[in-house]
Amino acid sequence: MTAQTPGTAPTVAVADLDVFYGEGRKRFHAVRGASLAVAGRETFGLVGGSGSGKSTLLRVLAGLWNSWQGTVTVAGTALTPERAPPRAFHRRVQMVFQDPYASLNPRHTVDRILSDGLELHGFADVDRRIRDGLDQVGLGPRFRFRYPHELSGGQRQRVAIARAVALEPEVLLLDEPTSALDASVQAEILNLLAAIRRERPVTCVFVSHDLAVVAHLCDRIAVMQRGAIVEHLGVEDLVADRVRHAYTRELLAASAGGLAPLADAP
Amino acid sequence: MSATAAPLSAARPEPSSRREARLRQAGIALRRAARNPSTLAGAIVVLLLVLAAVLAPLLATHDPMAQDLSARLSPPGAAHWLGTDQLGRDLYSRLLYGAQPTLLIIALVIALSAPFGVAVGLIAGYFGGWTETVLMRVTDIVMAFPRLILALALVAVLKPGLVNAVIAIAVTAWPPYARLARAETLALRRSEFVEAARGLGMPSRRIITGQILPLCLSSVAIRATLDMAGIILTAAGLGFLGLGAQPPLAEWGAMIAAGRDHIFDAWWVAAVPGLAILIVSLGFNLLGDGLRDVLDPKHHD
Amino acid sequence: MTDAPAGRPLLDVDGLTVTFPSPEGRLAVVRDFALTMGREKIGIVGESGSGKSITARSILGLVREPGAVTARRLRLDGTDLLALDASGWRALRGRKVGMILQDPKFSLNPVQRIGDQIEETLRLHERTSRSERRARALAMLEAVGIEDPERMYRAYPHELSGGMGQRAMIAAMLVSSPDLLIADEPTSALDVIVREQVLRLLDRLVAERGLGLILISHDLPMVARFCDRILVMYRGRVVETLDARRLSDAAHPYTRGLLACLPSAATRGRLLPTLARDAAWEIAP
Repeated sequence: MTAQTPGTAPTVAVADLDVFYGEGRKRFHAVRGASLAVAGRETFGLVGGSGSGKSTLLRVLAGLWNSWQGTVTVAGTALTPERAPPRAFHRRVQMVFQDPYASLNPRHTVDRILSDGLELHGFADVDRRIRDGLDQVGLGPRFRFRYPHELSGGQRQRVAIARAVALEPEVLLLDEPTSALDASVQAEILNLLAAIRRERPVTCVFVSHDLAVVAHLCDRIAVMQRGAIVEHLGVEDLVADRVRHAYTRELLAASAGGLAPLADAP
Repeated sequence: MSATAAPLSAARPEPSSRREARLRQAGIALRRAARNPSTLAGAIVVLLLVLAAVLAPLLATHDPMAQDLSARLSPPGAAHWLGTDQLGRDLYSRLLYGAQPTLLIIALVIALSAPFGVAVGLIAGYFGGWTETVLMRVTDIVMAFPRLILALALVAVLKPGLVNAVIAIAVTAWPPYARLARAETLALRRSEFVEAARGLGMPSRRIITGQILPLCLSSVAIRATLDMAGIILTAAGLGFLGLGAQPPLAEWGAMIAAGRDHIFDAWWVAAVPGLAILIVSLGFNLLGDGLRDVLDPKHHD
Repeated sequence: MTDAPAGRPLLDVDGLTVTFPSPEGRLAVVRDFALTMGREKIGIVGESGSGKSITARSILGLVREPGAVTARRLRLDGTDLLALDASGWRALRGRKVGMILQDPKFSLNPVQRIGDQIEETLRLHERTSRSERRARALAMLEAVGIEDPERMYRAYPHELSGGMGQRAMIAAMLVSSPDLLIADEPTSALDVIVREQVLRLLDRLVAERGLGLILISHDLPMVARFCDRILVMYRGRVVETLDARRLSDAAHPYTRGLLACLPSAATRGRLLPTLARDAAWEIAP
């Protein structure tokens, strides 16, 4: 809904992006000619099936994948292909990963996981920020010196969110952060993300294959299929069934299947 | 926002510092290790080796170098608990003092080869591409030489002696560590927590040392412990061939070599150091297997 | 297909309890589970740690030491499973019960061709000729909606997408015509569109072949669309049994909580209700 305010540049701008994996004959064209713009404070959804290129696009935005062509600007920094972005970029752009069991180093305590980024970017009062960060994600001080294997999946994802949010980023990239979690834990994490958005001005790009989650959280949505963005729509188009592309329809039928019995579905 | 209950008994107080958290983890691992009898046996053997080496001057009944030609080749008995060799030296005392070069060689070889090999493997695995190709081909070439033969050739060039034996064994011992560290790094490089660290803006050097290396250490420790048995055998092999520690220094391999001439009339001269080598290398193997059960995350839930 | 055939039920379980040792004594991860089913579609729903997968494993005799399974009654199509020895279990698995697991990447053998893996059960349980086995494997691949069965027959698991792998897994499990199929989170590694395709396929095959099906998942709405009856598990215990068409009749606060916490366009801009867990749910009613 938050259409771009005229005159202000979008916080995330992607134009004619092509992303590749591998080299030579085995080169894989993961994203084809994608363009999108996300305004400041907006929450943008990127939806698609597995292999649609949505996570790859997110990694380019995070500065974690450099093999691409096109124009990419995130939080005021124009990224350069084949080159890692400057360290300060990562303070402004943070990512939360899909699998909370894989995204935390098993040998590091929660304290170390949170302090690494803070120390790296020269934050003062690291100790207070860690305490505040744990409070903010609903964990509290008793979790500070635990190892990841002593936490449940939901608690781990809270730590991962605390790690990202601690740096006070302008852009938060979320790669299916709830798809590995139980429904009740997913609700807690989605509520947490909503609370964080209320508290500070942050632009979010949320990747998911589940339209129901995206519809709950996002203002605008881009649908990806086989590396290309096939449709841009606002969440109100989704609700009012103003969907044009056949693939989006299919996605909608599958994820918002809701309570319709399978036999009655087309 | 209520967090779900942790899979932990709530009765224990929470650790309040990183150090405390680490100590608690170590305690859990130690308790698990102590429950396994063969690990315990291996640990005791290794502990005895260390004690023998350190306390040799106190425990020895004779001067290990003192010759007593009147008592040469005397069998085990009250005067000489494990008998004497061809020069009448007390075998029990020589065995104790022989633990010193053995331990020294093990410690020096591991201290030289493991860090070098691990560094090569980490760099090759993390950066990939040409770096990896060059480093791993060199590793393969060194690995292709039979270990004892390469060590022999090196000692022959460098002149026989304890220090040169250490250098020779270390040169042949690092490639397995490089391979191990590379394999672990390749698996970890693409993991989400390494990506998350890159996403924090962490430089490569810190990712390698802070994120990847700690996860390689347990398998390196296991490998090193199992390797120690092999190092003892190589060192004894060099000693046996007269290329290791030089006489009159007591060294188990050289002691066996000396006993070879009397194997039929005075079996104990060769058997005593031989058994010591057998027991100590068995001890290291048991300990290494036990460490694998405790440390290797792939071997337990 | 909803009612059990007259006479003996396909699966008859009563008082099933699975315990594991812990420092505080034996810990029950499944407590007093009961289910009597015919050739119908049963859903078992619960969060991680609810004991739903262990329940399925105990019906297949796959709970390993130091886990211990006890039950008052555990019968499959008249066979007393409690009396089976290891070879009895082996004869049962594949032949009478098939199991589909979450991720075909881990449940298919990576160094064996798909065709060989499908024929494996036939080799183990039936006296069949080579050409007959091949013909049945190819027919089965066609039945699970593979367009080019010959190519799939020769393929290795790593050459397949998640959806194709799961189809191959279903083919391998159904080829020897079991009576009961247990699917443990068969679609949670798949994206929504492929999930829909695999579910439809399962639905069709179960109907055509008149199988009993136990579908295990954490996804309550998905199970409700697919099954006839739903058992809701919480911390090892069935807290509610529901008619799948009357999900809105759910009475247990846990089930209601699971339904209420789902996001959609309708919950936009609002906080989702979260589960307030109650220790009383763990105690038998």
